[in-house]
Amino acid sequence: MTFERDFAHHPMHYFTLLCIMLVGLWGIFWFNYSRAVQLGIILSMASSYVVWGIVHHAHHKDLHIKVVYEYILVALFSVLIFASLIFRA
Amino acid sequence: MPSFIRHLLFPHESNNQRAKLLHPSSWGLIIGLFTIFQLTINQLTISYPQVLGYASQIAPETVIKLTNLKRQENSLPPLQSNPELSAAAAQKAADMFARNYWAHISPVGTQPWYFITTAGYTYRYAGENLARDFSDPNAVVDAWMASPSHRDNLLNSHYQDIGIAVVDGTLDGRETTLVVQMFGTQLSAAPAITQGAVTIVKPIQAASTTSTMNYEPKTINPFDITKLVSLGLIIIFIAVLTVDIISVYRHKIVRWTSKSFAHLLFLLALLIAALIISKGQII
Repeated sequence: MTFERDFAHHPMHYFTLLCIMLVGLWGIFWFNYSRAVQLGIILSMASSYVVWGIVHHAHHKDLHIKVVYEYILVALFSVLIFASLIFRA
Repeated sequence: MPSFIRHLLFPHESNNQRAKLLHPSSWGLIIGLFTIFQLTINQLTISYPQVLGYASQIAPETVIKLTNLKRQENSLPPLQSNPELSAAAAQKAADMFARNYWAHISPVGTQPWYFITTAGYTYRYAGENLARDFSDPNAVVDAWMASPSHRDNLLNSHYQDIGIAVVDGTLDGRETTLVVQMFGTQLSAAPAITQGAVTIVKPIQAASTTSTMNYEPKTINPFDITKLVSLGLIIIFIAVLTVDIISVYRHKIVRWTSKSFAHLLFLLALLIAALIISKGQII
């Protein structure tokens, strides 16, 4: 399925993803005084992202372990980058 | 365009219509390399602190100079560097590290004025600006100027003296640099009007912190390197994903992969989050 068809068929999926990201960003901004809470938020965002990917592809009936693996890698990359910045490693 | 670059960054037949950088093997490789990079940076910071360390790159004299520049731009007289105010600022920074707080008033109620009076400065007017996690004096002064309350302090015509302390230490378990800026006018400099009462609680002695009052820039801040690499990686992936989305849209490419648009949204959120947490703070 091409991108525009995917987007047109599942606007709510992308809207949900956008909401997850915006709420997460709001939390990171709001809890700027607590690094532990911020780390918890990015972990939640990453987990939600992987779940979103699985649900989205399951709806498409094109869920494959390789696809799940890609979402997990992107989430892992994000958590690693965020953690390195948050702990000033 | 070299075929390797095209293979790495652009969808093409050679990479099954998806930039090689977006393949799972590449994500895995980048994650592995970034982990090794971070471990190396940490090890180098421990092994060679004289080269790679958290010693501040902010010179107190530069902060004073920049502050006076801002005042001159607003037709105000420059402030004089005052050793008592600098000592008060250093004591305040040491107290923040020792008691592990980031605020104008300590957890036990010590106010900034206490440090000023105990340093031997009898004030008629006094003020305090704080900053942390900055590595550039221009950024500190710009951040203060962007905040109305801090700007009021910088451009207050009542002040005649200034003292700065830039101190490295550990706050909330993180290596950081605190910048304490104290303003004042001696009681003897003008008719006596006592400013508000001060709650005094004796601060504890400084912990193992290093003041950069005698500024000698000699180290590279490892966090600056981490920030550069981290933000650089995010931006590269955002750029490659954007190209991928446009290319797939224009060429009507049908693939069985994860969604680049979802990755793009997530990485944009990560970029904003990274910018939020890596910038300095002022109070």
